[in-house]
Order: sequence, then structure tokens, then C-alpha cells
Amino acid sequence: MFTEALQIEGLSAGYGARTVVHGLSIPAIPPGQLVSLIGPNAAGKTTLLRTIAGLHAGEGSVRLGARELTKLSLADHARLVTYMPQSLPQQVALTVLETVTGALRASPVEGARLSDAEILERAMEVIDRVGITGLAMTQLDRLSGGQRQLASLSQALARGPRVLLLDEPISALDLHFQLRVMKLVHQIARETGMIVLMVLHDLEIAARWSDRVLIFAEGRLAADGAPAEAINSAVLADVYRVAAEVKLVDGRLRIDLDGIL
Amino acid sequence: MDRQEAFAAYARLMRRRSIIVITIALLCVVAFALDISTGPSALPLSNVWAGLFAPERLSAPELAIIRQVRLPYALMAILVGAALSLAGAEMQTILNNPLASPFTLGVSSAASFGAALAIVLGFSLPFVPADWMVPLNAFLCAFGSVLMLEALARRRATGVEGVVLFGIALVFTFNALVALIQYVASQEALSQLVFWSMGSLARATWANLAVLGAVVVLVFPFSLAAANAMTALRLGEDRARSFGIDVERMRFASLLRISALAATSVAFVGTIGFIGLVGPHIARLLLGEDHRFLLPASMLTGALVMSLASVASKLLVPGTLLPVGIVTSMIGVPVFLALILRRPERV
Repeated sequence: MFTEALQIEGLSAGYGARTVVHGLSIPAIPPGQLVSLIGPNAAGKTTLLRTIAGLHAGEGSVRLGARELTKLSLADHARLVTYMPQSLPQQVALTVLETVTGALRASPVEGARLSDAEILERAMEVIDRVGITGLAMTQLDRLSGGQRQLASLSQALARGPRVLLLDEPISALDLHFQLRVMKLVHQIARETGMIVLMVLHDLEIAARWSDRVLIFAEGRLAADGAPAEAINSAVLADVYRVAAEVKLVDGRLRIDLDGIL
Repeated sequence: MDRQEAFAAYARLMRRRSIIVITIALLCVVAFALDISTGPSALPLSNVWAGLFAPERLSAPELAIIRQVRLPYALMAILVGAALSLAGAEMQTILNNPLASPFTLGVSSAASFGAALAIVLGFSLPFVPADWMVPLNAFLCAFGSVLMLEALARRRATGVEGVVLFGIALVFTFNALVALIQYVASQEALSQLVFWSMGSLARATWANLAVLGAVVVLVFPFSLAAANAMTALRLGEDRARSFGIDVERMRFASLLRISALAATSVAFVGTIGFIGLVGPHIARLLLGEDHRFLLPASMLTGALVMSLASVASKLLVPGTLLPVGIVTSMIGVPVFLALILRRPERV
């Protein structure tokens, strides 16, 4: 069980002269929490995740427990934090199982080195939990976009990180798998103390499954709190520039954006 | 499919791969024997066997043909095929480009240019034996061209097509430079230069074989050690880095290996095209892209194709030994096109 909290202070990141994340501070995220990152395109969500993952240089502090992540090497970083990018390439002659075992072989995994049999066992277990056992031996170039997303998620989960960063993990999934993935990630976070930060666009799903919601606008935090606090009419109207109405009905958040949702 | 079935399918796949690798290796041995037995005076396979393992059964001339001529040829074919194919496989992965190979992206041309320069200018360095200047200069030029390709590939704006086009530009540039050197070269240097540009196994010597063999044997373990990281890189650069892989360093190390393999091959046999492209593609179609299998299998398929090309170079025009580079292009291009156009069903 992981016990460290994640804390971000004064984090800035960008590309050349263009700053995308502006001195962002996120108060401690306790272990086992699922946090959704919400906001319009180009609000800096992906850049934030990549900076936390150590893939992008930034200024400021990202702390996991007592460890300052920005000071760690790429390899030490990879032991603690897993980042799942939006896309998994298509034209690759690897099976789903190989995609997951390959990740385990290539990356330093917390704890001891795993044997071949352990790697296989661990990969299959995750693939099973994600619900794509039937695709284990299928090559990536034969999968649909959603199936590739599930393979990608299996790969990320198999590494058993303390901090899991998911960039739009359910954007290509059907309703069944959207719910299944949210449930699974939530459950693993609770079981292991893993902290999950995920970029989502579906506000209803974010409201239903998150412990906490961070709403971004132009590289700054527009709201931060429990779903019912953070997601409110004023913030949504401000961030998305559309008429928004949020109501609590039978304990569930009902969100109406310009009559769409 | 449940978990047990998936495990069983995985075990079957592994078994199938082992069988494929062993089969290619056996075919290599057969092609190697055929390569020794064919030539201006055909030798039966029994004599090939005797030449290798029971020399007392052969006459002195027969033994000399096998030991001094045919054997170095045939071994050179195997080694060059393996070296170029391994270089091609690594290059395709680190540049993320299926059309990459030492030949198509100008590395072989650069090595040719370096060699031509050394031959014509006849320059030397202190403490470096004169015989080594040609391969050494070939290596330096090859490495230079690889560095340029890498720098270009790293710029996100360039894209996959940009790298290929730049490589083609390199091919034309270095070929033009070699032609220029040929134009001003002395008669003696010219004959050496022509040999380079055609690609031929005819100058295989035991000393050359020892050097190329040493390069392949030294490079291969490092390639294999990077196999998992290369498999990860196929899933995208960001992903590979998020696994803790220092992609820049890995690329650089791989480029060093590619230069060593391509330059040494070109230094001894001249420009031999398409092996570095066809070898890895055959291996990939048969075995997939787990580089723990792909890299060794690419070496084997490259060696096999090269060995068969060597046999063909002696049989196509009776009584004439064609430069093997001509044959590899003649076999390589159709095979390559067939591979692109017909993507077979895979497990």
C-alpha cells in the first residue's frame, strides 16, 4: 500500500517562449485518490501530466511524499510515475500481450526484477482485469482505436506505479468500457494507494468517479475541489464560454451545457 | 478466449518463432554450402564437405579452390548479409521509418565516398596502418551521414518523409562526389573505385573476414542488450521515455553500431544494396517486432538472402561472375515490392 501524497508547487512549463502552465500549485493529493483534470483544449492539461512524468522540463516543485520528483533521473522517475499518452501507434507488429510484457521488460519496475514467467503472469492479470483477454494475442494493427486504448491502459496499469497519469484514457471507448475502465482504475487506486490523475472531457463521468476535480483554463487552475464544489455553473460558463447549469439531483450532479449535456 | 487459452496461444507463438529461427539458420547453412559448391568449376557438395572437414580426401587444387577462394567468398556473403541486415533493422526502429536502411538513406554511399577519398588521396595517419585507412575513412563518413540523419529525424517538424527524402539526397550527393573522384582518379585507383560502386565479394580475404567478423561479434551483444528498449521505442518516443529509457542515448549508441556495421561491410565489399531493407522486413513479417527475436532473425535472413544472391551471381550468366550488388538489387527490389503490396495474414 502506497502512502505518499502528491503535491505540486509553483510549477511552470512551456515550449520555448510560450508558457503553457503558469506557476501552478495543487494542494496535497492523498494516496488512493482519483483526480480528474478538466478544461478546454490547450488549457495545459497534457503539458502538466508530461511535466509531472518528467518528460517535459518545468520549473517548480513536484513532490511525492518527501521525494522531489523533478530532481530524479528518468529511470528513477519511471519507477514511481507512469504516464499514458493519448495514442498508441497502429503500425506495429506486436500483440497486445507483447505490448504489456514489452513495457515491463523495458522499464524498471518497483521492487525486484521480474522473471519471464512473472512478467507474463502480471501482464495477463492486468489484461484480464481490463477485460480484453480475448485480444491478448491480437496484433496492434488489427485493433480499433478503442481497443488500442485499452491495450495502452493495460500497459500503464501493469507497471504498478504510485502515480498514474492518464491522458484521455476513455475518449475512444464505448459506454461499457468507459464505465468498466473508470470502475477499475478507481478500484485499483483504493486497493493500492495509487494516485490517479486523468484528463477527461466527460463532465458527468468526472463528477461521478472522481474524488477531486481540477478545472483548468489557460494554464491556470480555475477550480479545485470535490466534484460538487468544483463543477458549478459559474466556473463552467467562465471556462467553456457557454451557458451552463449544474444541479444536484438525487445526490447526482446534473450538468446542462448550452442544452447539450 | 480465456486466460489459459491465451497462455497456450502465447506458448504456441513462441514455439513457432523458435522453429522459424532454426529453419532460417538451417537454410543459411544450405545456402552457404551451395555458395561454396557453385562457381566456374562446379564442385559436388560431397567435396565441399570434404574441403571443410576432411581435407585429405581432396586434391591440392580442389582444396585450394575451396579454402582460398570459395570459403572466404561464402563467409563474406554470410557476414555482410548479417551485418547490413542488423544495421537496417536497428535503423528502421530508431528512425521510426520502414524505408530506412544503410543503402536507401545514403550511409553506404557516404562510406563509399570516404573509401574513394582515401584511395585516391592515399592519405595516412600516424600509428594507423595504411590498410586501415580506407575502412577507417569509410567509417568516419558513414558515421557523419548517420549523425546528419539523426539530427534531422530528431526535429519534430521534419517527419518521416523528410528523413527519407534527405537520405535520398545524401545518396545522390555522395554518388556524384564519388563520380567526380572517379573522373579525376588515376587508372589504378579507378579500377578500385569501380569495384566499390558495384559491390562484390571478390576481394574477400581472411584478414577482411576477421575484421568484419570481429565487428559483428562485438556489436551484436550490445544490439541485443538494447532489444527491449527498441521494442518499447516502437510504441512511441514519449512512451519509451516514460518507461525510463534515455531515448537520445540509446539512439546515439545504436547509430554508432549502425555506422560500424555498414561502414566495415562497405569498406570490404563495396556498396551492396537492399539487404539492409529486405532482411529486416522478412524477419518482421515472420516474427513480429519483439526485438529480442527481430534483431537476431534479421541477421539470419540477411545472411540467407546475401548467400543466395551470391549463388545466383555465379549462375545467372554462365561463365561470368556478376558483381553481387547487381544481383541483390535484382532480387531485393521485387521481394521488397511484394512485401509491401501483399501483407499476409498474421497470427
